[in-house]
Amino acid sequence: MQPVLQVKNVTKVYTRFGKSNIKAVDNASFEVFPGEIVGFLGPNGAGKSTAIKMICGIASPTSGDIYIMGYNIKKDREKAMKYVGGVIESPDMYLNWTGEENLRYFASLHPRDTMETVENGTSSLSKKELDKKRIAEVLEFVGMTARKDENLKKYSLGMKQRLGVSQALLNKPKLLILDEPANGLDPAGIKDIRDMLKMLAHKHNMGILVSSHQLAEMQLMCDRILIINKGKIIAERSINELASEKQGKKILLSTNKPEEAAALLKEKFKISAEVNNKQLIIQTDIPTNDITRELVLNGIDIYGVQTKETSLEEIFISLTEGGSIDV
Amino acid sequence: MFNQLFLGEIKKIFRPKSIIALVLLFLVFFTLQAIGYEETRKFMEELEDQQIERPPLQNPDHPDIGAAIDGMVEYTPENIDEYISLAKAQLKSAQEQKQSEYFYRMSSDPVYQAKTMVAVFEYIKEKKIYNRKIPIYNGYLYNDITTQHFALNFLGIFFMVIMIYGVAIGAGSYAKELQAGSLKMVLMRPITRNKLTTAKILALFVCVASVVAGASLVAFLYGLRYPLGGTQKLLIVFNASTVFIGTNTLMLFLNALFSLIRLFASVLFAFTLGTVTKSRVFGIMVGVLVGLGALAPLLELLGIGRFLFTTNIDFSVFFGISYGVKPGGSFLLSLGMFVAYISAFLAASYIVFDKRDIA
Repeated sequence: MQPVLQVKNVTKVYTRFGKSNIKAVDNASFEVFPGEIVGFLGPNGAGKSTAIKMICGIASPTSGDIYIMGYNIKKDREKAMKYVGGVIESPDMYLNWTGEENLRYFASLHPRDTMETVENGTSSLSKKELDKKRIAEVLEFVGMTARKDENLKKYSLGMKQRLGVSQALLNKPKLLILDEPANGLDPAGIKDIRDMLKMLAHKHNMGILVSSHQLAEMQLMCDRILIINKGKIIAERSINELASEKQGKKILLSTNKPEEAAALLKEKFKISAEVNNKQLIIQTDIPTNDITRELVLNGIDIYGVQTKETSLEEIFISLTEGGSIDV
Repeated sequence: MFNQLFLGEIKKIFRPKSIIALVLLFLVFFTLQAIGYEETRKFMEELEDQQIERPPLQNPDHPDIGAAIDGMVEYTPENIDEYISLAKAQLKSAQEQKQSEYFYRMSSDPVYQAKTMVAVFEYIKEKKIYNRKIPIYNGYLYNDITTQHFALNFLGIFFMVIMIYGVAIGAGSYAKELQAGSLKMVLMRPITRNKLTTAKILALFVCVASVVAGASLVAFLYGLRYPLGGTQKLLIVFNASTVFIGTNTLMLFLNALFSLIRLFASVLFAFTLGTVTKSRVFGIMVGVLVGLGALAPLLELLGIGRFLFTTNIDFSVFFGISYGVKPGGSFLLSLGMFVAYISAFLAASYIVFDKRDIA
């Protein structure tokens, strides 16, 4: 299957006053396929936004290539951008115009071949009629039809997010890129967006790249996760793989002989335990009862036992070496 | 696709609030001028009622170049040589004044003006334009209240408003969208940045041109309540050498055209500043100061007046008797400098915007 997005060895270096070079993205490579939602995760300053800006064609890579539907974004920009829709950072549109006026302007900048199909009976319509029809569809899709005639100044952040998604869908993109789409939305709004994206990916075969800080939301929404840190893609996991990593748990044991206990566990269960003062920290799937029984039978006193499930946040932090994240 | 980009830019520029502000300012300036003209007309009627004759501007014993410009002189085969001699004497004196460099660079070029007068009088002699009064276009043609005078004057007065308005929209064309974030929404479409830049520049031109044309037309139509001087012929001299007989309509058209060139060059300058610095405020401040020529006098003291941007965007000085040509200046030099400045602004805008990452 041909990927809708191919990022090949892309590097972005920012030079300030010709002196200090900041490598915002470092030799990143990844793909997004039709029908999947890929989450783009990373701590603040990891390079997510820079990577997304390069994919959307508003920043240029220092080296490497980006292909959308097989078109190189540098050499065939107009052809490549025909297949992209997105919202970067925040849905900033023209505040003096109404929602519909904004959509009319953005729709007018797309060629008609990205909107029309013989199947939906639009091939005989003029471009203006086609735009009108498509605008009505996307407004309906995001639930903004009733507010389309209001000035954007009167919109809440949530409404702007919805309108932002609707403008990204105008050209029926093959690749949809959304940067923090849940920002400013209430729980019901977040669920709506999630359902919308799932429908677009799974029913309309759209490839979707979503960046977010909200790990739990990403887990519910995405099929695959890319983790970026210090400009490098450091991990790529399917949601199933992440779920299996999450099965692991931590056991915290308070004992009188922590070093002796650690050596015993290594010998008996082949697991390594971290010693912290009088406490043992063990990462394992072995039942807690089996571990405590073995220690007591070998004359080691146990003063307390605590078990803790490994969270997605901990997996993320361990991968990114302590980057900040909201959950 | 370019058409849609262009129409979008037009829509962004013609915002209801800015149109209302512009119309209000237009009405204020227009009303003030109309009141001024009406009072002057009444005063002149009173003079006529009291049969007070206006003093003649020409002293028949001494040729008067001022009166010649105003069209108060009737040339004859007898007096034309005197005018030519007077103009040539002025030219000689101006060339001598040039030796005193400090004073020479302080003023407009007296050599250029004297050359213009010599050319005009020699043309009158050659074409035998005798026994009729014919004015020489100097940008301030009439002493009487006429339709053309009203229209010409109004554009001169309203020029400052159009300049500030044009510079504000020019400086903000990219900078404002960049700050608001809407630019990235546009750039994600299947368009090239160069097309967007072209659409923005064209839209700015259409905007300035329509304001200039609208202001000129309204002023001309209102001015019709005064006597029409449209049939009057006048002498137009180009670049201190080529002379031809034109009409008032041509003169009004040239005036509007030169205003438009000057305004658009200033707007383009502000657009470049806004695009390169990403600051709308900086673009407006520097654009207005430079556009209105506020910084030029200081630099002129260095003797580089003829090379300045402000100097080289006003082509009206090369059509008629003008006091605006800077020492050493000429039409060809100005045209060359104009092309160089405009090319530099366009190149800077296109290149900087095309290469810039949108943060």
